[in-house]
Amino acid sequence: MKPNRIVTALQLAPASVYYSALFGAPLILLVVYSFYTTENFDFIPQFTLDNYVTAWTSDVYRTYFARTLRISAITALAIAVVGFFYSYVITYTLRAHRAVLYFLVLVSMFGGYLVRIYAWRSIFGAEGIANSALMSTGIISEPLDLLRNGEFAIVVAMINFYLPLGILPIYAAMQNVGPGQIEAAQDLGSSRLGAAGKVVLPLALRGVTVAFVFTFIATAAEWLTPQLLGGTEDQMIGNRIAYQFGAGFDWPLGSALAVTLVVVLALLLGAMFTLVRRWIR
Amino acid sequence: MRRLARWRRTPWASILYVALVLLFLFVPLAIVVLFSFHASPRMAFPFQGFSLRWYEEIFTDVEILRAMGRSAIAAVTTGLVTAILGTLAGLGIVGLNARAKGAVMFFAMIPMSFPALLYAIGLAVYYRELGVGFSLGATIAGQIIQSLPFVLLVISATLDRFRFSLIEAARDLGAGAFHAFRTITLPIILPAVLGSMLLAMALSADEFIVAFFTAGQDKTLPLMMYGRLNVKLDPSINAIGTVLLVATSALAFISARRTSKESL
Amino acid sequence: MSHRVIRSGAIAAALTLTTVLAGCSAGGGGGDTPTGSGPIDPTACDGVTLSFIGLDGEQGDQELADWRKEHDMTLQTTSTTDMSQLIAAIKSGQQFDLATMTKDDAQRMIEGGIFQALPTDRLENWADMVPGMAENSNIRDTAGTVFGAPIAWGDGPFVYRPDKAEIVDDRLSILDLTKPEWKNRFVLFNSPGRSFYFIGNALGFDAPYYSPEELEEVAATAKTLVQNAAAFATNYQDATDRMVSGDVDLVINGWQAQVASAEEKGVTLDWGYFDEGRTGWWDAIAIPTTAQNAECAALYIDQMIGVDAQVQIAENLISGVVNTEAIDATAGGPADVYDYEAAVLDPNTEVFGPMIPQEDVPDGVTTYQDWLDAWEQITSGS
Repeated sequence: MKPNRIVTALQLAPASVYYSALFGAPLILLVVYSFYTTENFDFIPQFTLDNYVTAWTSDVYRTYFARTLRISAITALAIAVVGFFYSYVITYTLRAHRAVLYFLVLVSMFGGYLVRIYAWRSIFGAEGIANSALMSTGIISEPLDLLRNGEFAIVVAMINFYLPLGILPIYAAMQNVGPGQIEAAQDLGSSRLGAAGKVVLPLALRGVTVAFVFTFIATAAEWLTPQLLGGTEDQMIGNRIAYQFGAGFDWPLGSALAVTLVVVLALLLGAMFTLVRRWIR
Repeated sequence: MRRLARWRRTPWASILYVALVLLFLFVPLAIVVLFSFHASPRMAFPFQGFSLRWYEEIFTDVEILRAMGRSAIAAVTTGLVTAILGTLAGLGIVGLNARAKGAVMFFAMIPMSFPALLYAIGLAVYYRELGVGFSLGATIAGQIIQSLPFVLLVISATLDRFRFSLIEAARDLGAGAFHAFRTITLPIILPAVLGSMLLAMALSADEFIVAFFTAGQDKTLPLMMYGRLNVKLDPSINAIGTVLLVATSALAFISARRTSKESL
Repeated sequence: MSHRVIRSGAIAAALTLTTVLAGCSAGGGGGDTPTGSGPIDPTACDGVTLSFIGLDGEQGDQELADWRKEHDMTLQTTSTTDMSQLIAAIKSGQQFDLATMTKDDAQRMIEGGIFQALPTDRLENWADMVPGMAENSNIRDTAGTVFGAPIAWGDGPFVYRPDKAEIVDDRLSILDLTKPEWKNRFVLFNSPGRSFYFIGNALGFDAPYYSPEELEEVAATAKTLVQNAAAFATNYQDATDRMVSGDVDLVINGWQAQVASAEEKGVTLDWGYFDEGRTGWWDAIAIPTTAQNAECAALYIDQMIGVDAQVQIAENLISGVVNTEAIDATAGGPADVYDYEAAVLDPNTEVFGPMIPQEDVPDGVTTYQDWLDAWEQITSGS
């Protein structure tokens, strides 16, 4: 069948218009605002690079960016590893139940981001579930400082929240690798884990990379989790961006920080994609 | 002997792993639900008995009911608009050649991976510049962008598997284009359309960040919950969370059942 | 071909959408000012709608509900906790009859020209305003004109768990909290305001006006304080929750209302004051320059500082009253926790002096922006 070109164009037009007007335009404007000046509670279209100078040269923001990238990398890596084995196990080992096991992961994505952060507080608190469990079993005698200065609570809560987002692409990629290929590898003498490494990983690597990238991006712009679960020196760049759009009231600086974050992420992840692609070849 | 063999063949390590991951995923949700029934206003152990008082409180609070209404409006509107835009675009994409298709899908997927915080502030800047202010409508407009990629993904996956020879046959037999669409294409893609619409509704109902920066005074349920954290921190926020959880996972469940045959 | 169609279609539609959206925008415009003289006639305000922007809970929603009903008045609330957003909203021409003015932001709000002078001589209840508020320099511009009427106040104690922290006579120095024994045992707000003031006082400087060298010293001490703190509290409820759940024992910038909300959850809290002074807060209501009904807004403010409304506001917010005639009426109630003698009955009280540098600091003195920059440096952990 040869679909009529005009029909195709008409079918694509509404969504294209919508994307341009409500995704493209706002982001272009964000870039434009990053060159504005803040004066007397107004944002003035007076072209300046000051916001970028601040965003790129100050120690303060360098620290925020470095910390953000570190926390996000740890989180995304953990998600990629946990997500890979989860997808592997449900696709091949527990194949009969994979639909249910996949669906359960999807459901855990919902149910309120905020209230969940508070749930983590009741788990990690000094008198929380984790500490009382560890103390009652005698593993520790003094409560652990899980919620205080340190990135532990932030990372765990973010893994919890973004793991489904990571499992999604890995699971999808694995559906292209039939169980037959694994059995073949096992017949050739590989262990089950060996088969996972030798056969599935290269074929699912695209999915794993996408999972890493998705969760890295999502966590790099987090702000509520560090605000509510982090200590005084665990705030991330998202907190500064949100602050500039709130009480700080410097939208142009906030925009410049946002644009910088996007550029840094694009460069880092672009480099990673290139490396992975070369490695696959 | 045979029983022992079966025991040996059971992949215990795998089962344990899956169970641990699921436990990890659901522990915070279980705590949210559990404390929504707590008799005491404390949100910490030891658990002091069950009560429905927080549900009674939220379902008699006019402000919360209003917020539920707004969230429902947002969810339905987002679902309908994304379904229409997504279906049309999905049908359009089928008509493109492989390269154009790849490019279009790539751009269409960007909002899915774009950080919500950065998109939300971009929208705030945009609305300010247009002078339209913040409102529920402003939030819905943004939530549509956020769920459109998911809808498009499901619908185009369905259409990929769809045999266009059927339409050709119908057209050969003299059916008009619209007639062919109505009698052949639509019934085949309808489950995917409905399923992705429900998914979009669930995403909208649960959405916080775009709403936070663009809803203004039109507080949706997640925003209302955030506002309450500043005034009274008690299990009523768990009750709101549980309501959201039930609503969104029900939508996701029906959605998965609708689309499972087609794309999962 | 299809690409070109899509592109031109997209541009045309984006333009249309933009025009439509822009057409819907609310028009700005000049406001109304109170014109008459003498007391305001309440009947002239029958059936009027007043719009308020500011802190939710401080607009008299419950407290003046009956009074509004009597006059068939309607109150519309736009709630914001963020004074910068409020200033920007009024500056951009949005019309409001009433707005919150907080103590720390009062001077920059007045300087920003977003409020009109409050006709205090026409407010019947102004004569009963407690001297500490009526004479306060923060509600005035440099010429002495009054711009807002305080409606609630508190004296900024620290709040703590007496079962976990032993604090003799409820007294503590801010410097105590920089010691190792307080490591991870307290929270503070993510703002330099109170900490810099207390630390400067402790170091013997003329708080809140520091030379750059002094600010450096204050910031160095503040860094130890921040590192010693367990976390930033996002608001009073958050701070209370962290104390109730046993994660921390003290919050630096507390509020007596926390005691009652912790009591509900079965935890006893107490409060005390730092050796370095009390840092009081007050919230006022003022009339924006964009008001459509300034005369009735003034009448509304007059009601808010009246005895009836004051007693109710004090009980709802656990705050101090601003009306001398209302003090006795709060005795024995939940808001009976304030030392009126020390705080507001003496016009020269220090409780409500400036805690952050005000708008026009002399040369060689650091500004609030300098404080914010120093704070950002501290909290980045770099």
